[in-house]
Amino acid sequence: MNELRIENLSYTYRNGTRALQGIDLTIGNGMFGLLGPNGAGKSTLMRILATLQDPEEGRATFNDLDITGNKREIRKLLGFLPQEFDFYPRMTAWEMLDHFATLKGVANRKERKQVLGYLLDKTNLFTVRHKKLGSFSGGMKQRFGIAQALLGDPKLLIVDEPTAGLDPEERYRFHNLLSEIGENVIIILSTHIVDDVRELCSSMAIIDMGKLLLVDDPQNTLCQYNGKIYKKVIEKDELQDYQERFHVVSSRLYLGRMMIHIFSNEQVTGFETIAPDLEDVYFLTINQNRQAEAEEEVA
Amino acid sequence: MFSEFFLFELKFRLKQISTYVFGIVLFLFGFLIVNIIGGAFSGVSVVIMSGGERLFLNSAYVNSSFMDRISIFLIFIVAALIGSMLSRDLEHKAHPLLFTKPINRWSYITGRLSANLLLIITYNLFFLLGMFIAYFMPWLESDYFMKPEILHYLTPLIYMILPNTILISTILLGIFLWTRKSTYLYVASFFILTVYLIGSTYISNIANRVTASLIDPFGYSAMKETTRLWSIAELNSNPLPLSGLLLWNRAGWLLLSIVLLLFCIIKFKPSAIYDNSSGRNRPIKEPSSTSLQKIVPQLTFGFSTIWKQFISLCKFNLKIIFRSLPVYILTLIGIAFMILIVIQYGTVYNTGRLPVTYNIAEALSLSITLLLVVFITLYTGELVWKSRDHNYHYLLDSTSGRNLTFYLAQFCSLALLLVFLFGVFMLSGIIYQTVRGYTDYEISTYLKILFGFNLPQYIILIILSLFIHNLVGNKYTGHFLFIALFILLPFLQYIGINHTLLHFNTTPVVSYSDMNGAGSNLQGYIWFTLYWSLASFFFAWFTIKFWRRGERHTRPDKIRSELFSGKGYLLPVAILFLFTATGGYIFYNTNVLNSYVSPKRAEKLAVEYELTYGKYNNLPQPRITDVNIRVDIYPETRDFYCEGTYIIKNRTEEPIKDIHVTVPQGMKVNALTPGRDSKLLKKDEAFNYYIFSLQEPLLPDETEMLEFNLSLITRGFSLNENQFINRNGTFIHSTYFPSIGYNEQHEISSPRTRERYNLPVKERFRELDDPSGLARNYISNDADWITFEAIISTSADQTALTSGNLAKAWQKEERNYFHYRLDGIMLNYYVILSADYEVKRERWHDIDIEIYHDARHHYNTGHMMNSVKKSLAYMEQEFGPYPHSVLRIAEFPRYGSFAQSLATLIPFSEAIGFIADIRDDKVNYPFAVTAHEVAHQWWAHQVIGANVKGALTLAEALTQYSALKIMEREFSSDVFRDQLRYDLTSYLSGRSTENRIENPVYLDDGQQYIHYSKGAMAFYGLSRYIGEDSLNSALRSFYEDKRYQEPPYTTTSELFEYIEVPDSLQYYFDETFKQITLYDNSIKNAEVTKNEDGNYTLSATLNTRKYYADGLGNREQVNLSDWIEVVVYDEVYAGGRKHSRPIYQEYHLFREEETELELILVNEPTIIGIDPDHTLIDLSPYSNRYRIK
Repeated sequence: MNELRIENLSYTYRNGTRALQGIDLTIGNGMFGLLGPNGAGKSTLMRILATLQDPEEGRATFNDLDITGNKREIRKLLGFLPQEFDFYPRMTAWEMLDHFATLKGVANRKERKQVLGYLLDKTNLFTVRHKKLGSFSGGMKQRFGIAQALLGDPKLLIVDEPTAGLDPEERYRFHNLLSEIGENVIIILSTHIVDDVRELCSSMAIIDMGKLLLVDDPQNTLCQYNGKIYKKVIEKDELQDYQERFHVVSSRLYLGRMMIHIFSNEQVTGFETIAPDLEDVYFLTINQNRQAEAEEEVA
Repeated sequence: MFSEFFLFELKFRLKQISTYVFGIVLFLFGFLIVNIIGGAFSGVSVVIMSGGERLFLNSAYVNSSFMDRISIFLIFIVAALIGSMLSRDLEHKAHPLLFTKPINRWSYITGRLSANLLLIITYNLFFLLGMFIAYFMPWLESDYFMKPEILHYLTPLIYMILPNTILISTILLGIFLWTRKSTYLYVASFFILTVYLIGSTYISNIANRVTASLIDPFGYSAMKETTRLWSIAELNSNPLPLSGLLLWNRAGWLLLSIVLLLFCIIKFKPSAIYDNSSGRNRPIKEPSSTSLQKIVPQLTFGFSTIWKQFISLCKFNLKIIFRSLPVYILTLIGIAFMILIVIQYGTVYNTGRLPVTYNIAEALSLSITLLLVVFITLYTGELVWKSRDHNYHYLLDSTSGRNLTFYLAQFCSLALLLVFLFGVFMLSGIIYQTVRGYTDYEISTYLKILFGFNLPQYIILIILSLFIHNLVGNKYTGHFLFIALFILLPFLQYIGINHTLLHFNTTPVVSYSDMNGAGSNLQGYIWFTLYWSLASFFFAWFTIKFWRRGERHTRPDKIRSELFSGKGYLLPVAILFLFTATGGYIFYNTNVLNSYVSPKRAEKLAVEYELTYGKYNNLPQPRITDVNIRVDIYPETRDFYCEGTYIIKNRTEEPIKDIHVTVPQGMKVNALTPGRDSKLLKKDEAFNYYIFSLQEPLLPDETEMLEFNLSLITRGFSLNENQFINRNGTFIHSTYFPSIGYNEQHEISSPRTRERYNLPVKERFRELDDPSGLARNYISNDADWITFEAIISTSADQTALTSGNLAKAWQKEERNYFHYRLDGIMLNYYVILSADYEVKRERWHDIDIEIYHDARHHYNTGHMMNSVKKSLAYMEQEFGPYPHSVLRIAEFPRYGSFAQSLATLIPFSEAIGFIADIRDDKVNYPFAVTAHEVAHQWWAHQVIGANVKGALTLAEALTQYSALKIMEREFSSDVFRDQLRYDLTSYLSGRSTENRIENPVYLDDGQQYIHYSKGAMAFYGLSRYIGEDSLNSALRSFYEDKRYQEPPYTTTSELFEYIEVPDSLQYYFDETFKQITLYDNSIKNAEVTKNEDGNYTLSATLNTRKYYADGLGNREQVNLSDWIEVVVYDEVYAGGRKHSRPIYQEYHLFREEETELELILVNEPTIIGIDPDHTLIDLSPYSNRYRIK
């Protein structure tokens, strides 16, 4: 059983942005979803876990091995897919991946060939392996990045917003790929797409403004909100009114009108009770935090 | 819209640190330069300018010359700015946002461009401001400066820098819009730099001056041409004139850049420019799936993995390098530049050298310096920044590869790139040799010079470059800092840091010689290379420590903890120890075993010598009459021992009590005693100055012996390694033997330096009637004519040579012995040579002629032999018999590139003559130089002038005149004219660098451009005006009267008493020999018509102008009434070449500036010339011949 433990991790950028504020978190084997809006601090956290940035306070350990102090050891176990990346356009997919495989420690030439074949096949890139990377589309590059991250069967796989640029089919294929990876691996998946987490993760956390707002099992979380979420379709100009009267979780356009979800501990008339969605939980958590922050500032 | 872009760009620049760094560096650079030449630091005056010491350091000319020098900077600054200006949007992926807006491309380009131009002009203002402010520094000597004139700073900025900046910017802009890659900007920069270097150095060799002035894009040729005839006085007071060639050049190129700019703007299509998916990278079709088995690979991290990772990284890096086009383009430009240099390299009298391997390899290594620096910084930048530029750095950084592996892979890839380049250049060298029909390739010499004596320095530069690029925040700053360091580091010597141990990456220079191989600096070179390699280890260590993985720390405490954390201190400490030990060993060799004298210390010593012993100058001393020496040379250990006896004679009227003896510095005195009882009054070991007080004074006409025993033992290596005792090719001059009395030669000659030490003004030569000058000849202070005998021993493989007949030669104990004895007398001036020679012997009349040369250098010995015979014949016939029975020419290593004449012996450098390429119809200078040296056996070695002004005119001008006459008989008239024009241009360029007063010929003050170039022309011209026979019979009488003359010695004014000139030419004689007279003669136009009787009528307009100049160069035009030769030629083919043949040749009397001339000729004329053979000093030597339309 692997264990990734994060203790009181903090990081402030030079311009004063507090990217992480005392994060405490313990993650075991399986797929862990890190949910948060853009700029929440996800990428900073991922970079720290991927040995590419040093925290200012606190520490992170992987199987009791301090990440910042043992970068080289951690890198031997690590697979990382950053949020934004590209490749040297004049290399072919095979050349580039072969290079990465060697750097990751897949030293045996024959094995490397097999691994490359397998991964390129899995990512559906095998037939274009001798094409220059410069000619790849965004989706192909993303899949190539995933192949790269999976090289050498990492014990700790960190994928930062992996589905951001993918079309639904590619996204589905990616989900399959991740789910095939053994049970004995920690996979941390950061995303702002709630569905990714719902479909893949056995546990999750919500992070915003550098703070950890919620850590739980998705099913468990949903249970807590059972019977407390209501929905109603209203006219667009009524929104303001409802927002003042109820705790509106989300609002979205629905056939030219507006569908709102509200949160309430008591039964509300005129609304329909619905089973809570993970998205409702996400919005609730984040809204609560932002409200609290705002009140703190006023105070 | 324009102002939007302009202001945005400006604000962007002002937010960047590099903007301020550039500005401050340039300010300091300007400030420093003026301080350096103003004497603020070392006290050693540095003459950077060619204008000599009389130029004010803040005149417009000096300022513009400095701006010229910083142009190298400028090109790269412009490249950096334009590069980041254009590629910024692309790199930050802002281009889709920007170019989807309705922006106006005119304002986009002009707005951004003008902001950057403004910035560059500001940088230059900073540079000028630095120079300007330096003027006010109290520690600078105010004599060097004039009152600062704003115009003198602004004119070069406006006329030179501004148009050049616009030109460079638009070219780079065009290149970027065309190629879309910022890398090409550096390729283009290097190309521009090459053009600039060619323009400032070589263009005058390629094209004539007017064309050169117009086509040089940077205008420096035009500036030089415009100011070429200016005197120092004019250079000091005039701002740059925007007129004539300079105006045309500036206007033309400015216009061209504007046209180019317009073209760029019109062609600029935002959508297309930044479209990355060009044809080659068309998106490909989605693949279909296959199925392969998943395996779990074994991850290993042992040494073999690290090795494989290293190899993979190297391959990857090499692909990055060699899959980019610039490598090949830069290499091609480099080869082109190299060939240009190689052709020019070692040219004497416009005659090239044979492409012998060491010569080619050396020219190669000189020509590729800048290219390699560009290569190193460019590709270090590429490798270091590639993963960030293409945004895969997080992927790479999170792999388990070690920093060390990444570092070594980059280092080795760059090193391999250099090896590749050196290989390509070596191959080009070999191809060049083949094309020139030279096939004695010496691959090992190539390897030694290129890979042994050059590559290591560049490898160390790679380490420095990796250090800089890893330290700074972006590529452009890295390039700038690296190039700035490369340019600025050598300036350390001007602020008083001289010891090679303190000059990063410098070593003693190994100059490879065919005779002597790597020579005496090899040992020092190896140690210093080791020393700098160890030093560069620390750069490497820091670089690896700070290797950027992911995000870099910005907080100092983190940086500190990173640096001092962890293990691995053993290696740096060990290297530090080795570094210190190597440094210590070098110091022990250079400063303990040998003495190291910094330039400033040398100056102070010279001052001390003059102050202590100068009072003994002119003290009556005995003269040496006989020299008998025994010299033992040990080439293997580079030692020599000499013992000898001088016979000295009191030739004064008074008894002499004290004898002063000076032994050259560095020689160890084992014994030094006069032949009679004496007391050692003074023994100054610092200056090797000895004063003996004789018990019994030396009475008038009495003789005595002076015995000495000296040695010079070479120990370890030093920074001023002697290059006269060599493994093969020893050249010991008589100045290494004791001399009598005080030696003026050691005194400081620079007027400015003398002034700084409050020393009295020193004349170079004494006045014509100075009795102490008349009492000695200019060659030796302490002797008149001597008898000479020497026994020399050397190693078994070598022959030793000196003046005189070989009386006996024998072998003893594996060593060769030679006994030379001179038949007759000679000056106290001799050399001792020893080398492994081949000999070519011939006999002419009763004279043995021998040419001793290196086995490989047989190419031109036939010409030399021919020249010796022709010269002996001419000299004996015209003046008198050769006084000895042997005449030898002997080759010596290239550490000096001259030939010299001593009684019976002519040492001739391997760098000239022996390897001259005279296969084309060029000046055969082996013949010319030999003729000159043979003629010296009469002029100087039989007739010697007093040590007063004009002494060298007697020695050199008469010698070169004789040589010209010998050449005139041997060379075709076209080639001979080239020789005369060469003398003329040497004089013209020589006088513009005079740092004191230009003298007329008869008062020559040791000025080579006068006594050699102008003097020879003057006598040659005189022979054309009054006839060769008439002049030679005068010279013959002079020779017969003054031959082996005892003091007082003769002078130029005595010579003039022998020369008879008709009254009609008296003006010519006086103007040529006693004044400074300049002509500007040219053919304005000429036309020919064919007459009915079959004759041709030539009508021509001739321009003649005459000027008198004073010693400072101020000139005024004067009225003419002058006889000037007019020659008309037709052309004939002979030997497959076209030759011009005179068909009309007459002197005409010219009275007007413009003269119409009409001639009836039988043959069809093709060329008309006014004084075409340059018998007069003509300011524009190329306008004297005119091809008739």
